[in-house]
Amino acid sequence: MNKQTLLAYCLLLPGLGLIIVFIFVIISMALAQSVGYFNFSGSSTFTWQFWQQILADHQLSRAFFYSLKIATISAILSVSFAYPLALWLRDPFRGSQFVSSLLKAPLLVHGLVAAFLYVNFISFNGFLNQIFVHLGLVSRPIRMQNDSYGIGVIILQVWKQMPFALLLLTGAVQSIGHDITDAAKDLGAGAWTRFVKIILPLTLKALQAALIIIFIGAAGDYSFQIVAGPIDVSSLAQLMLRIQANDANGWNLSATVAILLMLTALIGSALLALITQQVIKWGAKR
Amino acid sequence: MKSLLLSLTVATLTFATTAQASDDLSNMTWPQVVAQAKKEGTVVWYNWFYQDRFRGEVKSFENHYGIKVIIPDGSHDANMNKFLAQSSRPTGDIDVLSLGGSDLAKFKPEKMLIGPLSNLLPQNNTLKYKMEGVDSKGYAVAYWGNQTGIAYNPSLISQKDLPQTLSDFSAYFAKHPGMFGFNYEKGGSGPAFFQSIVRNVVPDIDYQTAQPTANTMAKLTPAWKWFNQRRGQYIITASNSDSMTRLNGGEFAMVASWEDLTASLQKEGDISKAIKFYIPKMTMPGGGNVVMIPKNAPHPAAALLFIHWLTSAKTQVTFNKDFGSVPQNTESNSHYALVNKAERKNSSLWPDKPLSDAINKAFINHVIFH
Amino acid sequence: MNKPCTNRLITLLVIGFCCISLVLPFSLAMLWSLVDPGHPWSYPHILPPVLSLQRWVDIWTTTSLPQALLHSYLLAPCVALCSVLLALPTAYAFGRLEFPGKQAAQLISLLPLIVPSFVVALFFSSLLNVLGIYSRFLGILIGQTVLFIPYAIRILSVSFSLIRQEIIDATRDLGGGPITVFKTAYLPVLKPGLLASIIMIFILSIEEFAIAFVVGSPDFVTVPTILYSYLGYNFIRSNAAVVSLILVVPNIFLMLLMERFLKARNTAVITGKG
Repeated sequence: MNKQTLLAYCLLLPGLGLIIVFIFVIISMALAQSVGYFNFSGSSTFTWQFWQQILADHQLSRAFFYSLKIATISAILSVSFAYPLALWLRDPFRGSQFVSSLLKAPLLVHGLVAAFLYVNFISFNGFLNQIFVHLGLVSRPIRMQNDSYGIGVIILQVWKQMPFALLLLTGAVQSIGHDITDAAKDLGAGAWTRFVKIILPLTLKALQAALIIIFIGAAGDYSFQIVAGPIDVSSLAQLMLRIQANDANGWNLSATVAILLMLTALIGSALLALITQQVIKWGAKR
Repeated sequence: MKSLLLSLTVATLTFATTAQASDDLSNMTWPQVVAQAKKEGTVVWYNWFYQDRFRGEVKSFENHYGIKVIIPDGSHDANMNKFLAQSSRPTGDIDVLSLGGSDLAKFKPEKMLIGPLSNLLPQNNTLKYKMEGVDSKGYAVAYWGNQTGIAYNPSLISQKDLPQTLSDFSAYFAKHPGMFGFNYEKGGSGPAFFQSIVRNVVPDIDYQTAQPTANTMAKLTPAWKWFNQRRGQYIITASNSDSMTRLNGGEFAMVASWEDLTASLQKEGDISKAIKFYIPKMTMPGGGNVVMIPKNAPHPAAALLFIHWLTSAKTQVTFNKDFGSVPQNTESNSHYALVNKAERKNSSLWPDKPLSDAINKAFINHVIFH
Repeated sequence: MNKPCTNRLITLLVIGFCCISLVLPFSLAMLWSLVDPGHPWSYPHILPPVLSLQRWVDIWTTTSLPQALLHSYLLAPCVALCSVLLALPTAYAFGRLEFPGKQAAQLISLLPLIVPSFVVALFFSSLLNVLGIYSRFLGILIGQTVLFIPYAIRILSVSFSLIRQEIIDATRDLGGGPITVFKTAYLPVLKPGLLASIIMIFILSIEEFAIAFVVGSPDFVTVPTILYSYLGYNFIRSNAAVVSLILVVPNIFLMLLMERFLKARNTAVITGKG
């Protein structure tokens, strides 16, 4: 090993090294507790009992599909809203700076605050219902709080995550040279063709990054779920914390949910990224 | 060698002082306790509700004794977990711990608490050491009485139409779907309501003694059927407070609630003074909370003095007035209660703790996540 | 339709949408926060009957909000400093050195962003229990520091890569010692990146919910624990409104500050993912 390589590896220690140790220890901790080790009370022995118990629980499968649904829809919706905005903001114009800061504003609002503002807005005697009633659209306010489809959670996820996707996509879109798009224009490609054949393939990496990050965030959501989510189904993170606090073998059982949540986030986001790649390739070839 | 000996002696001495703390209190006269408490100067009270308002209430204690009261913002479960997790440490963070009466069944009071308080408190014979069917053997003392029931909006339902029995509720739900709300977590009033329905649908179980065996739980099936048949006629809310907020907003005519929650929200101006509260004839449970001193409390004398103040007749009357709680000192009266003496008879005991927990879990599984 | 006209139209649309999704909810929260405690806003009143600032005074004087702000705003700079200091060597290696396995190392450095935050928080708190670390401050500090190192690494490695070797060489040729080289070649290029990562991590630390909530619970109050209590368990609309409004204000100032430092730079670079 030459001197520079050795130096580089040493330099990685405090930052990257710490990250690796930390994440490794935490994941091993979860793995160990899920099979009965590191018990705070009682003896620590190897057992599959917690996995069997949790996998037989139908709350888990419901939570799994629910979190999967919320994460997929939120990720796809966020990037679909972000793309047109990113393209529009590609070339600076008067007021574009202002518009882009305005669009980034939700990044500043704490998730719980956003959830509260939303619930306040749609509540039975909230603004939206009062407007509906005054316009004569309905005779009695509609009950929208904690809707059982998770629409509230998806709206909040998109509201909060779209600016993030916008940041990533704006950067990617701006780095595409005008010569390429202009050349395509000269060859008679319409706006849609240019988007599908040039912009999408060239911004694939940023698109995948946005999808992955939003998917993982939404799959592990707790704060939107507790304030605005459905009452009759839990998200995986909510289930994990509830089991940890309420059950006699709380730590062990929640460790199994934690591992499932990690797998869901990783595999789900990777699949989403892969499918996106295939779809875009197919679209560009057509 | 000399230094080793010295450090050993110091270590033994420090150990001795911490171990002594709990035994010390029983050898002190009351004025000595007060003096020691003032020397300690601080008391940390882990109470899981109304923390912000209690910070105002304890001012009179702080001013009188010159002892600072710190009230952290922990939730019930988090406080309980902290207490259990810390119990092996020589000195903990908790001086006074509040818990629900039935929580005492989860651990051995004589092993983990200082006391019995009934031997340490000067006003011991006017106080209650048994709560929600659990006898603390004098280690935990009642400071808060509460009653579950139903809060209603008189402009949406008149007093004479209030449902009283199981069949009244069935009829009301069918006739006015979506006008009744209750929670299943974050607050005990919703569980009190569905437990009450369960008792009325399945009356042939002794809820005070029965254990949550498979046999007992199987008997409860008709109750889950009752709820599932009426799904959509009642609304599940996110928490106790959410129920009250939505009752106030005109969304519901009635919600499951606490007497003290209703009274204090009115007192704070968070809900309309027009909201009323009743206990239906089919009965709803009442109970209360207790305070105790963990063995490893950092300020045991101040803790004892604080509990003395907390359970005094005067403080109990103030709480009755400010929060609508039921006084736990036999020398205080309860002029400010929301329900009259006759209606108070509709108060029942909570089911035995293991059964109560099992019913709540079964409700979540069979009804909420059905 | 010509381009400026389209731009103006879309701008108006976006502004209109922001009004509905931002201004309106915040104004409603403002209205709720001003409800007088003596006169509840209840059905069937369409507007609050009496307005006053009493709730703001009550929340500030009786809750632990000031303490939570103190804790959070004490933690945030510590976390920011620790993360940046720990990230600097790695960022240097990523930005200025070539070595085998660099791409893999860069990917691995993003690990904390990939593991769901509540999983990290829960098992980190369990680890703290096993290790016997009882200080909540220290616990949150360690957890958040590791969680935010990736951001600092990404921003700073871009900064390091922007430093031009010619300037370093030229300074050396002119007889400059290590300090002079650092001052003339490194610092001017690094400075915006350093500031940006510090402010970014500062904001992230205040926002961070999982670790602060799980590790800090029940008695180490931070901004998220207060929010959880007032927006979740003890939900009372007027109080929730006051707390929300108080907490949003400092963030806006911080963001304006960050915008100033980052004006010239590509924002995608700053967020560390691209």
